[in-house]
Amino acid sequence: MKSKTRSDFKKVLPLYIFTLIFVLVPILYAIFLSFMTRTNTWSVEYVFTLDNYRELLKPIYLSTFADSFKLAVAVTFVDIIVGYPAGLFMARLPEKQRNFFFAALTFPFWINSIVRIASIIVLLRTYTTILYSYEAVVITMVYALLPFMIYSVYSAAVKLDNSALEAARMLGASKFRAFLDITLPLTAKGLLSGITLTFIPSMCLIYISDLLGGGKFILAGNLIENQLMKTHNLPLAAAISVVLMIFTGTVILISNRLEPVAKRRRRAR
Amino acid sequence: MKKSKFPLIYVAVVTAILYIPIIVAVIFSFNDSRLYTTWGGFSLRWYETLFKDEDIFEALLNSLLVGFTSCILSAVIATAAALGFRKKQPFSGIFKSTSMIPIMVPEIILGMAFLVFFHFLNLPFGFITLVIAHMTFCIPYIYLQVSTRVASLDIAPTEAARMLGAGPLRAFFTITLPDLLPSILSGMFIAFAMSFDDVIISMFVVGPKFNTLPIKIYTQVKTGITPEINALCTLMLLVTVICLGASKLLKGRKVK
Repeated sequence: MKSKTRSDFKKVLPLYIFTLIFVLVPILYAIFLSFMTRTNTWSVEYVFTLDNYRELLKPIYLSTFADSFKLAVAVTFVDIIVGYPAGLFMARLPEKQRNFFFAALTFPFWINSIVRIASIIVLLRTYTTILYSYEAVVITMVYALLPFMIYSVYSAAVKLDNSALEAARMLGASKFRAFLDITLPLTAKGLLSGITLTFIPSMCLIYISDLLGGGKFILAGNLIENQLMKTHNLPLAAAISVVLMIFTGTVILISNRLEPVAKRRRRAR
Repeated sequence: MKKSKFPLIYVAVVTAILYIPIIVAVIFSFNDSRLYTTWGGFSLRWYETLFKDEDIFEALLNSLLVGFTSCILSAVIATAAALGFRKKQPFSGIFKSTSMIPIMVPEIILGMAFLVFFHFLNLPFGFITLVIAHMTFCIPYIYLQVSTRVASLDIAPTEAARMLGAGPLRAFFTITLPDLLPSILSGMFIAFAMSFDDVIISMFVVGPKFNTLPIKIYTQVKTGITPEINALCTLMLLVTVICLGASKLLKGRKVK
């Protein structure tokens, strides 16, 4: 029996080794690097410093972070306005139509994202004057991330029990009231995961800001790209990533925390 | 309650809007004119230019090679792990969650970590670094698919076969593998699509001498878009339809 357990361990060993060497160690190394000193292009001296983080407090970086944050808020906001009702409505359709739209929304993902974005560029260039503007970046970002919002809301809403809603309506609750008291709390989980899935990529989809902003709009992600590919300042790029990592973790944590709050609120009523 | 048509119309309109760029690309891939404002008549000239474009062709081959290599290696690691995790394993919690990191954190962070780490190891940037980087996100996608199947796997036939004298490998290939194959393939399908579409992670580990299709398209779109890209979009659409159709057939067979 003991040899059998050992042979089972052999099966997970490749995953353990791969994950250790190529996932855990690179991330830990990047965190370590963010506290090291840059000597010149590409090279690093292993001397502890906080300069990389101090550098990030300079107005130029702070304002870029703030702008990227604002853009992410705008994108997420539009995606909620358009995607939340779409997800809810989709869940209420008859099963056949529901499945059709679900498949229809997945389908574009199988086509290369740059190819789809190229088509948007051409459309904006031909029929509007907003290419290489803030609006162009926001619109394309909204377009790229909207399906995630719709899915998240849809998968929460499709499990919704309609009888509670009907009971509330029958007992005289207005449509709006019934929405606030029943639909919204019960789909909060989907909405929150939709927000996480749109907000974080909105700060990181560097090719959208590169291609549609004409280099005028820099996301937090572009800062990392520039430090790596142009200035070759590895420790600074690592420091920016660490900040972004902490930020991502916080957003996920907040959305996980908010979910029970939404549920409790419903129970309290 | 009366049924309103509004939800259907709203969902249909939103979906239609998401399809506009794709539909436009397909239509204009057959347009003889370079311009998007005029219809110059039906033509296949952009397909011709595309097929003559050797750089694109080379990038496509590279992408297929990277995708297949990372998917096959990942499938082996992920399937073995999914089977191994049926028993309690030391450190399983930490390794299960760590292996999921690559599909949870933003790609740019991962790309950065790989770049600095591979640079530290002095690995030559190109095929090998791409395969390693892609494997990190292919493994979780395949693992997620296979582990749900493993959970519902009946171990009695395997044990019977072992008792009757079949070696562990023989039992695996004749009993376990055929059972798991559909989930392994559907996991590999998702993983391949992710690898084939990846821009951000690849950008950091691709190196100067190697190109994948998304990277090639990205640099091309940066310098100027030609209708060639519409032809490419249409072809990708076609391949997708064929692949999805094939996987549907495969799934249909599994149900029987």
